[in-house]
Amino acid sequence: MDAYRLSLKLYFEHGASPELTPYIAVFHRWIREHTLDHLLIDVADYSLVPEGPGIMLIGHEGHYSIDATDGLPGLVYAHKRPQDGSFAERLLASWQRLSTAARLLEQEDSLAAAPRLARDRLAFRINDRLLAPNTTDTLAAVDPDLRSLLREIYGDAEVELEHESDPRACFGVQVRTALA
Amino acid sequence: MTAITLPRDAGASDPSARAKTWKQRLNQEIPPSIAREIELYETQMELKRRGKIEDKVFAESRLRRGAYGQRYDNGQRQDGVSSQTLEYPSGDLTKGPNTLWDAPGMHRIKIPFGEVTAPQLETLAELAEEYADGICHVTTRQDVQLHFVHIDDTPDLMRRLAAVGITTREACGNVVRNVTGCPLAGVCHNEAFDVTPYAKALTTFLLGHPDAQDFGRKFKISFSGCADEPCGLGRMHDIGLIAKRQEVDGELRNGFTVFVGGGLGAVPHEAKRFSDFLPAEELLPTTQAICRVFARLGEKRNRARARIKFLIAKLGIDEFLRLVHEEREVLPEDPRWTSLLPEALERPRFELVLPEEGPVGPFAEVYEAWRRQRDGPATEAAPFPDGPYPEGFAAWAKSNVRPQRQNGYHTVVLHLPLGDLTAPQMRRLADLARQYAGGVARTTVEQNMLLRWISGGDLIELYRGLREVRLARPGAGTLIDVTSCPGTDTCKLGISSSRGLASELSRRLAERSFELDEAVQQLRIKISGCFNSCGQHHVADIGFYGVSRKSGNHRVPHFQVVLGGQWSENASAYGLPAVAVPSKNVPAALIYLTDFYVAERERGESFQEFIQRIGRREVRAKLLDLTRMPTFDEDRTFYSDWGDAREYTLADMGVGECAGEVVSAVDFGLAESESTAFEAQIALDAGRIDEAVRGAYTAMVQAAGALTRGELPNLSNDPQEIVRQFKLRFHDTARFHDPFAGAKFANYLFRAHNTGGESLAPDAAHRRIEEAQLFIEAAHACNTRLSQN
Repeated sequence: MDAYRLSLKLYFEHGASPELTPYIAVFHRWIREHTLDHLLIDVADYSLVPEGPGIMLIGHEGHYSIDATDGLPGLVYAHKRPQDGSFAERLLASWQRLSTAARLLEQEDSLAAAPRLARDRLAFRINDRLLAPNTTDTLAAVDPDLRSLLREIYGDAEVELEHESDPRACFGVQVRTALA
Repeated sequence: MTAITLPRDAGASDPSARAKTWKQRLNQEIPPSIAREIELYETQMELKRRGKIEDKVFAESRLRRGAYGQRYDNGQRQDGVSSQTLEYPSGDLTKGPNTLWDAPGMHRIKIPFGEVTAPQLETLAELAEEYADGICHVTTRQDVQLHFVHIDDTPDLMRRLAAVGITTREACGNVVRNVTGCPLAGVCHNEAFDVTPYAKALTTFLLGHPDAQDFGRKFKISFSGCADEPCGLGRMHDIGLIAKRQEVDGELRNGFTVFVGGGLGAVPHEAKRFSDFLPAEELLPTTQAICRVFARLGEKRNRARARIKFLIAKLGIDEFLRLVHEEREVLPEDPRWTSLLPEALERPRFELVLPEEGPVGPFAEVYEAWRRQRDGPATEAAPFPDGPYPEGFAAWAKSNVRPQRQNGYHTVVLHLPLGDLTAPQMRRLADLARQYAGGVARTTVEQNMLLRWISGGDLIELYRGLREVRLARPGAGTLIDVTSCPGTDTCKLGISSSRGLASELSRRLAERSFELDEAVQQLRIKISGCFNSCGQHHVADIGFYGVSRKSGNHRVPHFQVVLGGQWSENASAYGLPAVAVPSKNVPAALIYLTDFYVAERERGESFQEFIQRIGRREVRAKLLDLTRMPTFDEDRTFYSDWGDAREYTLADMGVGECAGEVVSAVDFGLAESESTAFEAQIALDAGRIDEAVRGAYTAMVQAAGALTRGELPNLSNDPQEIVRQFKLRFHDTARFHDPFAGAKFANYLFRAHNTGGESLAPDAAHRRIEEAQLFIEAAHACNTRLSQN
């Protein structure tokens, strides 16, 4: 699997919708202080768009967003630029970026109510309809590497995968586990 | 790891999906000329990477394909404390003057007269998800823009658009921009006739037209169906065409009242009446003649005075008219003047009221598509439904639904916040358009979308469908429907955060919309991030544009309050600034103004009339308290902008690309010849010798043609004629001669031309390509010498 436009999402606990405006200051500070290990460029405010990407932290390699595009609020990391390594390595790298940002947000003192991101659910997407159409073939192709990542995250916990249904949408899988 | 639930429709992959690139995948689905155009662009990108194209030539080349720069693309960003360098992996590689290759850009996608089909909506959604930030942004000129796009993704983006019939060609740059049109065309109660086929014809005619390639600045055209409404904004365009029916030789004919030289920008100009009635069949040739006069006489060096409005102001409308008529007389006859307009010209008598059996004229096609796309029989026209209504329906219908002139059908506005919608919303909109609106939607100049031909019987179900994806926002066309340009969010010219302010006003006004006086609800607010008026602040009831003021050692974002503009009658009057208010006081200023209007207005008095009667001085005096700024220590919130936590600064402003780069047609032609020569090299490397030889020859002919067209604009594409004219004008006069090598380089062309399609050995082909390169260099040198003289 050559695709590199990988997107991962963690959801806020109990579907809680966060107040979006304070994230603008947090993300600007992350840019200023080089908080993350890759090039961050700007902050985009889409808070007025219902069920949209909320507040986005635009990076050169990928974007972060306080996203509700699928109807549920959460934190997304979406990788955009070509990257080296195998698909499994790229997948792991994207997960590490998401989990790092999640940990930092949960520790963010400047947010009146620090967000809690549930670890029992994960959304995975490949934003590339050419290399990864939303089909069972793609599912079969990514399955071993995705399983490998999920073992890394959840250990031996039982995990349920649900392939997203709209064939026009990007390839996507919802992951659920009983264990956090 | 246990259950895997599969969707019902997730089956085996489409075999074409095995293609590794979009170029392979869409090879058969893109018209060859468009495919070639995109390949040429890709070649130019490669040449730019290798440093073989000048920055300004490449910049104008990408701009003309819709690929714009964004804020911070010079690699510097003020973080609120200091300026940081953005260390992009491609380092110093640029895609234009002071514009770094890796810096994310905006891609503008032209939607002529705003008409967009369901498959196009789906493609736009895909592109937003894969290449941008997931948002499709509708602009004030009916385009769709994607932001934060990497230039490397732009060729595939263009291919995917081309596969659904969209071109981004001439979306930016000094060319004819998107031809806009009234989104109600064909269904409006007030229109003289449906302008859609005319807008379509003019779009097709001018796209890539040689007479529209050598402007000093951009050129905007708009169609309106009537003189009274603002939907087309005809009087603020370079050419505004307003439909008119007039009796000619005893027959009622279609034509246009034509305005020229209108425009907003820093110095707004009211359009001048060019013709009270231009017969429809004269539309294309007269527009062509206007383009020629503008290209020939318009300012090229000083971009601030290069729009046609300045030329008309300089010449006077009478002299401009004379020149255009003179040009029209000598235009070579073009069969496309009428062949592109068959539908319109063959039906000179449009019915103003459609027969009961359904729509006729151009919309019969849409209507039929609508009928076909439904599973069962077409829904018949039906009146507005009786209740009970679902929650929110009545308020939504009051502001967003209007009856069409065809009984039983309605238009429905999707009120988009600041023109934005997400990719999933766009896909769902495509579904709803297919289900209820003939598979077609339109964008509007108020940054909304419109569905037409909605049967009254479908309104409630459509509402439910829109509400599911949060697209049933009420308040379209009211005070809360705020228009804004991108401002400091992404624009290099932005001074203040227009989108930030628009968000704040929208939120606050939505909260109190139900308590707002009816007269206030009808007002329009439009916001620009700077004086250039992309947010159309001059024609709003209440407009704002970004400025800055100093307080101590700090800067404070402000907005000028612009009053007295007129949205109706095709934006026929421009407002003037009254006073500059700190950004953080603008909501209070707005509430003050609207309350003042409600309290003091006379019966039936419009806001514009109210301002006129009260006087700008009085209004300014009333707002003076709100102009005061607290010191930095007293309240630091005034020193940052809406939606931006950083301390405010102007340090991030750059040189805008709206104006494009002034690159002559000769420069463009020479760049094209270089691309062809480069492709010849690639062919040679791949062992395609004959193709390489042909490419080398074609490149020389292109370069000769480019040079010759600088003096002979009507030169044909016939190589025989190009070489003949080149010889006559440049070789025989010795103007092409190299100071040291004399006629040597010209002879390369003549030899290749005279030997025709001969086959050459690989080493001879190699030499031919080298000769082509030398010829192109000589053409550049010649062009430089001529420019200096």
